[in-house]
Amino acid sequence: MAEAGRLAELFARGDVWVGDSLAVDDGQGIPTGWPALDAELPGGGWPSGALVDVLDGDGGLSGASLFVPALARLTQAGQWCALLQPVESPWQPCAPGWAAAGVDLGYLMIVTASTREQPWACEQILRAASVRLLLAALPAATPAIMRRLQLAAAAGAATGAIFRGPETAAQAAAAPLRLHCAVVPAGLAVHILKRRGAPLAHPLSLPMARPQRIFAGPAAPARQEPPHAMAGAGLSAVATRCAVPPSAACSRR
Amino acid sequence: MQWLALVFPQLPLDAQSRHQRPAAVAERGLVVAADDESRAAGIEAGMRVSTARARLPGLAVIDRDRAAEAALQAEIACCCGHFTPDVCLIEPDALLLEIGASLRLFGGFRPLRQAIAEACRRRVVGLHWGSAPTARAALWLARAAADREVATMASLPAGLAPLPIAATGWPAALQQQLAGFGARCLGDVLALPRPGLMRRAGAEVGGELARALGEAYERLPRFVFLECFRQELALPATTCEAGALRFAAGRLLEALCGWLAARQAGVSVCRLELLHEGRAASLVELRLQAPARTLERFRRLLHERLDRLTLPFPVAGLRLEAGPGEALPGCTGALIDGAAGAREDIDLLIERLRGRLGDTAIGSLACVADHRPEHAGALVAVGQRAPPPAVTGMAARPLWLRKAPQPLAERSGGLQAAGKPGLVLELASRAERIESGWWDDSGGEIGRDYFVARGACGTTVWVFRDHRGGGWFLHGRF
Repeated sequence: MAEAGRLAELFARGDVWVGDSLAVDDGQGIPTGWPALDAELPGGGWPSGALVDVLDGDGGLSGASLFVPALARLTQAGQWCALLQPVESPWQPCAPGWAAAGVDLGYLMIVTASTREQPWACEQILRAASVRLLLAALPAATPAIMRRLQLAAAAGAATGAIFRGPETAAQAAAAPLRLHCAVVPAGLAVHILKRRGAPLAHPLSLPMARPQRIFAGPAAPARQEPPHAMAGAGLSAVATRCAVPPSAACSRR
Repeated sequence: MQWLALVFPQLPLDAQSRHQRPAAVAERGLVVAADDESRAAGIEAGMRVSTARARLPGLAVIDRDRAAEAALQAEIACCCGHFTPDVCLIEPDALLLEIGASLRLFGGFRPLRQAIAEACRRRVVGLHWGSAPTARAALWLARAAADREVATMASLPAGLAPLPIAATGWPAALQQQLAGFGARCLGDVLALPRPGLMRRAGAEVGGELARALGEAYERLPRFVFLECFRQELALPATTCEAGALRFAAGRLLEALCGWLAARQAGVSVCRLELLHEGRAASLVELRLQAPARTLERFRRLLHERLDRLTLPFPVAGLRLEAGPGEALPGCTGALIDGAAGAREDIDLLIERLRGRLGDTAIGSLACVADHRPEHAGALVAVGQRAPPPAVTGMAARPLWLRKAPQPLAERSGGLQAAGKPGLVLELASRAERIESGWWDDSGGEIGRDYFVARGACGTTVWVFRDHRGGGWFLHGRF
């Protein structure tokens, strides 16, 4: 009996979990903004002091959308977040877009680093005690780098979202949470590859807001723009109907 | 009041950055200081240079450099600013520090004295010290190489008694006269009846004794921590090695931080010049996120910069300039480590990243009131708060913008990216016309119709049709 009691005591600890149930983190998770996803993550959100290995096919463009609600919540609460960008990336963050998504830009640090310096910069940011969330595209991160970054994240309190290509899914990774993320017509399809708990068989479908008009302040009522699906018709013809003088459109044909 | 006197007996020699051994420093034909080897050969201060040369044929005689001595003394005085703002410079080779108010902060007399001695040892300066409730008594103790502390006023006469009369630095004639009275040490002088002594040896002796015993007030010239900091340091040999530069620059930074502490100020920029022989100096600018006076912050930044610096020529000396500082009051130590240091922690992180990645690598986004997408956002200094965009009701903007718009091909009723045959985009919104920018000389003039488009797999992008040059382009990603 005493043995069983001690075992139950052991299971009640935050850092021990039984294989077929979710680990109980001490409520340290950062809410993701999607209740369906929160329910499937140990701790009810993005884990603090750990890496999240996100496999998406486009260098963090779709993966970043997964973290935008958490980013908005943290920055509005005055917590520091960081976005690490490779110098070579053809994309750059667009300020009005992030502001419209509710992110307080004053608390978002944008760091640009070359591929060689990126792991170092990641480590420094993760070790800083006052950064809560780091988004970094590291397509070339090896398992050794991931292990090092996981250690750095464990030393600080930050969630480190590392975006890599789907081809790394077969590699071992030190991150306690691994996701595969892809854009689908309904929004985002998230497949949890690894978590502290039983693996999730079916992918989660997370709805994404359609592009909306920008109003002052994130809390203002957003008016839904009626979608204009215009399949079939010639594009330049559509463009003509919308804005362009006919002569210009015809000349394209 | 508790005074700590620091006497540097070998200052003329210590201030010489390069010399061979054995060496002696001479001024007007007389030796003023000699190193250990030449002292072992019997060479002393006050000896004629010719006599010294005769005793030790290999002796290197160096001319005295009073400017270098004064600079070294000032550097140590600046360092002492870290411990107390009350520093007096006594010509030619001593410092007096009032440490009574600092004892508690630095954990008592012993740790404080050891920290100061450590700072002198880093500068390879020989040191004797003495501590007493009056400045003059402390100075006499140090000059007699007593290296001890007299803690109370009551024990002062007993503490001074064993010192030789020479420690007072009185004129030789006076010292001889006192010896003639039969006084062999200060205790004998103190035991003489004061009015009689003053009548026979002069009023000045009585005054000095009264000031040493705390019976009379002593006016001391305070060391002035100047408005701007500027210190120069000659290296013992020209070097390219980062380790040597780190050490030497660390010395200057320590003096800078002492200067800042004494002035209750902080600086955010300081300039370190690496001096080359006969060439223009190389400049290293240390830039902090906010004014500070923590040595560790400057030092870490310096190491980051020195490691990445390519030196064109060997370095012969260093010069550090800073100031004027901004007022920066000291902060109360926290009982429990709290979140109060969040901003400082971020500043440290930014400085470290900047030191390695470059000044432009770190920033914050800010919205700019400009209708052209390329100009609607800017990278500003981290933490700089921009007002929210004034325009509302504007059509949606994407999260990501391409640095250079990607041309799209128009094919079978859809748009197709060049490298991705599978990705066909369909328009999903009305056009938003964004045009003009004639005021911008750098090619900011545009004329575009923007559409939200959607790929078959669900990707939402922002495309435009250029109605000036023609053609479709991919510009953003939602």
